[in-house]
Amino acid sequence: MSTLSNWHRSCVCASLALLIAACAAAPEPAHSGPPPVGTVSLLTSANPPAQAQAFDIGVLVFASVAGDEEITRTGAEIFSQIRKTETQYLPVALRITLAASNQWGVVRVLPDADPSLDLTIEGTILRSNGSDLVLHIRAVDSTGGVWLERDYADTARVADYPDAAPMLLDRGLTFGADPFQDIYMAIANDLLAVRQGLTQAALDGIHNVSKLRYASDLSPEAFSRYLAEDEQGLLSATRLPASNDPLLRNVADIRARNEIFIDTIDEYYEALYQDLKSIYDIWRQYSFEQVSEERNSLERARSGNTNSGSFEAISQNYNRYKWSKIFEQEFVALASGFVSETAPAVLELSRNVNGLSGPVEEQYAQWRVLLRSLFEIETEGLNSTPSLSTP
Amino acid sequence: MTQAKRRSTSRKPLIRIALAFIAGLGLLNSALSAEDPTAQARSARLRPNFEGSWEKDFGRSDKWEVEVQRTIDQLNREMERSQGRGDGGSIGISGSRRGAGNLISHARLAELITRQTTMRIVQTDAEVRIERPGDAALICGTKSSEEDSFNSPHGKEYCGWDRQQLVFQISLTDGVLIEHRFSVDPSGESLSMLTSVSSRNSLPFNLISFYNAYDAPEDGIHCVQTLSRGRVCSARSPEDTAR
Repeated sequence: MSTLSNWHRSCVCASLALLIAACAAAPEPAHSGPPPVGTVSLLTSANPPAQAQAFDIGVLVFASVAGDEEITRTGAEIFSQIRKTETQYLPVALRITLAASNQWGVVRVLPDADPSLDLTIEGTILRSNGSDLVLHIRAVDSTGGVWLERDYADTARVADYPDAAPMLLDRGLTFGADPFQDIYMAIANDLLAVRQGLTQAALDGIHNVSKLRYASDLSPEAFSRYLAEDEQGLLSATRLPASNDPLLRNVADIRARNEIFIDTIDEYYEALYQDLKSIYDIWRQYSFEQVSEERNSLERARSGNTNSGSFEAISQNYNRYKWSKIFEQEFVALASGFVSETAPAVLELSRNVNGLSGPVEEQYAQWRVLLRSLFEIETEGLNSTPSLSTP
Repeated sequence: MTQAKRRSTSRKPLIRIALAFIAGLGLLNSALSAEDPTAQARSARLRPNFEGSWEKDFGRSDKWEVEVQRTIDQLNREMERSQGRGDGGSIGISGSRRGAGNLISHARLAELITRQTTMRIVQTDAEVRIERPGDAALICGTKSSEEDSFNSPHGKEYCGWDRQQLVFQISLTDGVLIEHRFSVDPSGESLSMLTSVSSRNSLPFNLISFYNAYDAPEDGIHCVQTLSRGRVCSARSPEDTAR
């Protein structure tokens, strides 16, 4: 019995050993994804948009998906911290581009969806290094209508980075344009194309639903009946409260306070972006050089025609391996330097404000609860069933 | 060349099977203890201590030319034996010749990658980091029994613990397999590194290097890697040095 059990154990061990050997020999998966957006020009407007087109936009803090390569690589934990910082940094780059187009209302970066907004943009970082940026973008208006749902990719070129070695750059010197500026401009232009395709009634409908959604969020019992949901889950305003409705006036007051708060939240993200920009630019240039070196090294390995099995061939191969490892270890050290240098700015984002505590996401949630309580206090004694008018 | 090592070469297939078995058991054990952090911490504490500065003991270390000659002599004896028995015929001979051809390349590679005369090893509860001048550091965690420690298009590195030995296996894209096997004697004064270079259809070439512990002078400088200012160094405070 004992012998049989040992034999079984040996088989299991041998199978495991074979499995490990098979995994070691498996080829690396090729990177696939959408084609790069190429060179894009941002469609700007000389004048601010008309009231009906001036949608307030919320760009939410991005999510991220780590590929196998990122999970298993050396220093994976450090790289995941960098990715977390990028989820707060990259939305600001998109917000700056949208604001620069002069085609929209107020554009803010927020930790979570806000019912007062006309359009909400969610992003997921699928791939990010100094050479490639791949984002999944989903833009949804207040009625639930999906404007965009697709992957965007951009590739940086040597010309996107300065010639000087990053280490020698002055901390205060910024690089200017983002190497992936095209991706943000492509997203902005696509959003504009969707808005330009909407009728006046659709534009008004989105504005009305935004107002009612916010009111309904504060007082569902008073305002939810103004909204109807169709079979596709899209919201529409069935009718509007009277313009002199006192409850609606209270909603407008609370909304004004909410806007001040979300402006402040947005300023935190802007401050984080400004604090990180110079260091992040340097980081991306290092990352670009690391990716380029890896590709060039592979190319050299493929084109090498040294006699296979000779000492020259195997020592060259070992040296390629050795240098790729040395380079990777230095890159991990730099990544660690990036994390420690950016830590103060990231902490600043989460410091206590106005009696609220915890990370910025929690402060935002606490604020929403506070506003609801405030609304209830201020509307005590008012008729909870406002008078009606047709939209 | 020690008697023990000669024995180890002639029994290599048996030892390889035994090692595969031990590695398999270790893997099974690590799978069972994967959910148990206490067991991982305990195994980390039980690892031998490699920490310190080490310098090569040339008197005790193998000389690669001598090892090549010894291995060629052994190959010749095996060829003579197989010819005498009449088994294997020309296939055995050509196979051995091919093995001998690669052997020189493997021996030279083994010599190339073990040239460092000093090593610095930093060991914490979490990892062992072996720093060798002119080569990439070998880094392995102390908790799991086997891990994928580095992966690049040019090769893969696995590391793990085989009882009291710390083992690194590097498989290059051309099929060359390099293994470094570190062990430290109980007194902590001597460390050995068995480097084995092999490839498909060839005999492994083994080279043992011995190192003695020595007191490396303190540089008194503490450096931190930053991104914007490069490596920033400052003088260590007396408290840091005492620590």
